[in-house]
Amino acid sequence: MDRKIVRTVALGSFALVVVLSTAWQAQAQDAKAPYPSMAPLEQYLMADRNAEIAMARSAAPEGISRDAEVLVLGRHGYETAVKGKNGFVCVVERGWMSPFDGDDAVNFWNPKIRGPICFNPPAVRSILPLTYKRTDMVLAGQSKAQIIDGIKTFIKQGLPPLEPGAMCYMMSKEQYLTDEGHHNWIAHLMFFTPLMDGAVWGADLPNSPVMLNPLFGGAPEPIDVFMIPAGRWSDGTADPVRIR
Amino acid sequence: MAPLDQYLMVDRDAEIAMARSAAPEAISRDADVLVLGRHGYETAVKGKNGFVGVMERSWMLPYDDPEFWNRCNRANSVVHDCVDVHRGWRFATAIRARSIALAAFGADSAIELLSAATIITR
Repeated sequence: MDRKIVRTVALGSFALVVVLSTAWQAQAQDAKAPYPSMAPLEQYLMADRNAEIAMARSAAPEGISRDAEVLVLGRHGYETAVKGKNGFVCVVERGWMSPFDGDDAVNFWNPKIRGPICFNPPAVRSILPLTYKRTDMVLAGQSKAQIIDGIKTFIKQGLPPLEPGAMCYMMSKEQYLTDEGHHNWIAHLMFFTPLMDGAVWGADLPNSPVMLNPLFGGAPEPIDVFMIPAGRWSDGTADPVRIR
Repeated sequence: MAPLDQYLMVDRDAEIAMARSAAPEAISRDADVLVLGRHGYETAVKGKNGFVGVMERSWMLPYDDPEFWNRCNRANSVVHDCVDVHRGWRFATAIRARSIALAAFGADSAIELLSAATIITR
């Protein structure tokens, strides 16, 4: 009889451990990957078209953005909401423009991500096509693995060569780049280069204001992205430079 | 142009230190450092990271800049004592940006950093 009770208690304890362990693993997985797959499309869209236009424009000082073309995200891709005349294009990028892997990949499917960005003309011609391509594949319902394969093919067959001087502005106070803290990271500029050693720019060295962005970086896009804090938001208010 | 001596820095070590001050130590300590001599720039310190630190003179301003021959840019004393306001601002910008490239090329914007970095590491 005692042996039966002991066996019952042991089996019960084992089952409890298994259940708790499974629950803990699931919770840890959730914490590690809170956005494991695409959310419903509506969550990535902005209901207020004018708000999206304003947010896109807020990426750069008015002297640049007022004459820029502005795109908004629709159900079938980015659409031109405002025709521009200075060659710049402003757009609110979504989470899927995050790196495919690494710590920053956690936001790839985060529907809250809003990355206002204004591309200069060389970047419009050579970098913006990557935004279009990734977005088209996302809206077609492809998985991250399929998107990576699609980008690899695009690099071989359709990606224009990187133009010298390609850069963009990300100076919007409205940016939502992370679920943590104030969500808006720092006002910064990004410069696109062929793949190179970050040391060539002195990137990420102590007290250097230059940072190498994990975006692209050959995985698979053959482009490096260097970032430099701008020190102020596009509205002119200060964003004190925080050097890592 | 003023007499050549007025563009030169008497204290070679001061010129080296000033050139290095353009970038954070992590970059400048391993950079080549040039000093201006009577026959051009000379390598005062051999570097090993591909960067070059240098103290430019006024003739790196635009050709139509009225300060093109400003001898005060010899900077053989503290920069602020002699350098004109415009030039001073340019150097302040470079130093604030902590970039040898910006200092070396008198760049006015971060965009020029790209060009400068490309050129000096070529």
